[in-house]
Amino acid sequence: MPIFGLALKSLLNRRLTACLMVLSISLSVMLLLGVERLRTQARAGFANTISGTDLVVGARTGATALLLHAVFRIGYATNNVSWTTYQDIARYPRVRWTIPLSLGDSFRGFTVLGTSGDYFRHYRYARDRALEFAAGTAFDDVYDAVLGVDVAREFNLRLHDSLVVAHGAVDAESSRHTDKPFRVVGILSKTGTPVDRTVHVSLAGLEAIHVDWQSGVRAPGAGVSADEARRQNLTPRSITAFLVGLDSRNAVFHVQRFINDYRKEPLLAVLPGVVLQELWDAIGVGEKALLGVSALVALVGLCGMVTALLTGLNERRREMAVLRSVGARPRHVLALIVGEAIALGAGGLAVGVALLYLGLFIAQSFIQTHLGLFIEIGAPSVYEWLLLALVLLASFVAGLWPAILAYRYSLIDGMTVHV
Amino acid sequence: MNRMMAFLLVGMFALSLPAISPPQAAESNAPSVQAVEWKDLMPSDFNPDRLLKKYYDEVATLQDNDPRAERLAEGLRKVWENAPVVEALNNRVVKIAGFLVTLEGDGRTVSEFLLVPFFGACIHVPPPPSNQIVLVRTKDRPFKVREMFQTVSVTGRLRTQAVRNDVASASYVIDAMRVEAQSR
Repeated sequence: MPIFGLALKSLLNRRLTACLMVLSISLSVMLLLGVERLRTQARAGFANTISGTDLVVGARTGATALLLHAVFRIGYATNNVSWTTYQDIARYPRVRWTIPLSLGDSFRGFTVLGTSGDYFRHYRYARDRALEFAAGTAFDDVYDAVLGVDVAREFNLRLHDSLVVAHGAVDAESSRHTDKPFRVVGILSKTGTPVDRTVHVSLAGLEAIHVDWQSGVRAPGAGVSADEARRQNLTPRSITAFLVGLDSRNAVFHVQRFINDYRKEPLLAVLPGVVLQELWDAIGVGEKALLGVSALVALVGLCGMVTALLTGLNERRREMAVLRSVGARPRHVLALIVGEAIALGAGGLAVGVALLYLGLFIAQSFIQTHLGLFIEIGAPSVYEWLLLALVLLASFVAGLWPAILAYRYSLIDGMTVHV
Repeated sequence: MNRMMAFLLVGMFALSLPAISPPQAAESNAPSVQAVEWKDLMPSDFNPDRLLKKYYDEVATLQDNDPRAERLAEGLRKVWENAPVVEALNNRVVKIAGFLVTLEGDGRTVSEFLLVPFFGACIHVPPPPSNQIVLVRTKDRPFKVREMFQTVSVTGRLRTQAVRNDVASASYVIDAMRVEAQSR
């Protein structure tokens, strides 16, 4: 143990080099863990967003594009599904429930989703968990809105507050539906999914705010007041996509086939689990490459440490001689250098993990805003501990080489140094 | 070619596959486990070949866009969707091999999947009849999935589960005790 203390003190004496060595190791550790963390968290985040849904149906497009837009609100829809088609499929014998989804409007950067009450009854996330209300209830009136928890928090909105949504994804002054504000009637509990960042309104509500809009702009002079709009026919002509739940999961292929062969309108039905699996398979190679690169970076960091230790050896022959003169044996010299390497490795790990958590903390809200993914900041997983242990072991092994050299030198040199 | 005719033709092709291609269920050590093959899941009087033959003969007489084609396909779909199950297999502990189609998972493991007799059952060809699809639940020990349509063999208690539906039909569900990866 005194040897280890000596190693620390000796390192302290060369603190600049030591700091740089710790830094290079810590950066590589951060990269290694960060890549692994993002990989698993991204997968879990995606997989936890949808559960219990048998099919996602939309206009014909790419399977991934449909799932990403309808469920994760990433990208855009190429086309809509007509209301009659939706109703027709909802009546198919095997279909137990459907959730219509109408996207396109926004509230200060947050998605506005037009849907039905079935959303709150049937939508499931994270292995069969239902949506819960932190306050209030589902929407009932045309101008009622239910907020995800992040929307409510960000703008400090409470029950009965009003909010004005905007046409399109960018909330510009000119495109706001100022004449028809919505009233907050419910706020959902935290889910860790894009639901948290969504304003939910009824399909009729979405229809109402667009009654006096034609071809993407407000028709001049055609101001229809909020109450006049209520009296109009608010059945939507089309929706963006819809989710389907079946009476038996075994029937999913048959219903999928029915929808994909639907003659009146080109549609696409996908199994969310399969599309996600496809996505993982597609990006799996990239993930492996990233992990490989970060492992190499860790190796480079350790090589840097060995280089620094090796170059230091010659200069420290005198130090070793002094140590020998006060009674240190060659094996003590060996322990000293190995101890140094382990101290550097451990220091690098500690700083690296600290940097990682700092980075995650900063990146968390950014990732959620831009990707809709909730990155959970938890304790390192078993696999991550394993990676950490591996780095520590590697620094021990890397330290052996200069240590054995130092051991040899101290045997040859004895107490006299011939430099 | 008419799309409905294509449906029928490929359906026939698809059905001839299970007899040849599925990985054979290995002999199990435990005597209570019954090794089951896909044809065992079809009642002996349910003969898809004969069913298809009947439709095929009629479809051969049709022109493109004949409204009868749609009706025929509709009828065939009903048969396919509500194919009868073998009640004798209910509550047996079975071992069966097939291709995995992910339903629920966390990105690394799957907790619920469909087991089907041939590759790409959900995309490239019409689906097999409903008695050739088994829902597998791995609640306690999620299975670590390696790739799409991985071949696995599943051991567990098979149940024939009635579907709440106006048509009398049932489907196979296995609560898996063990799921093993198989090399193709």
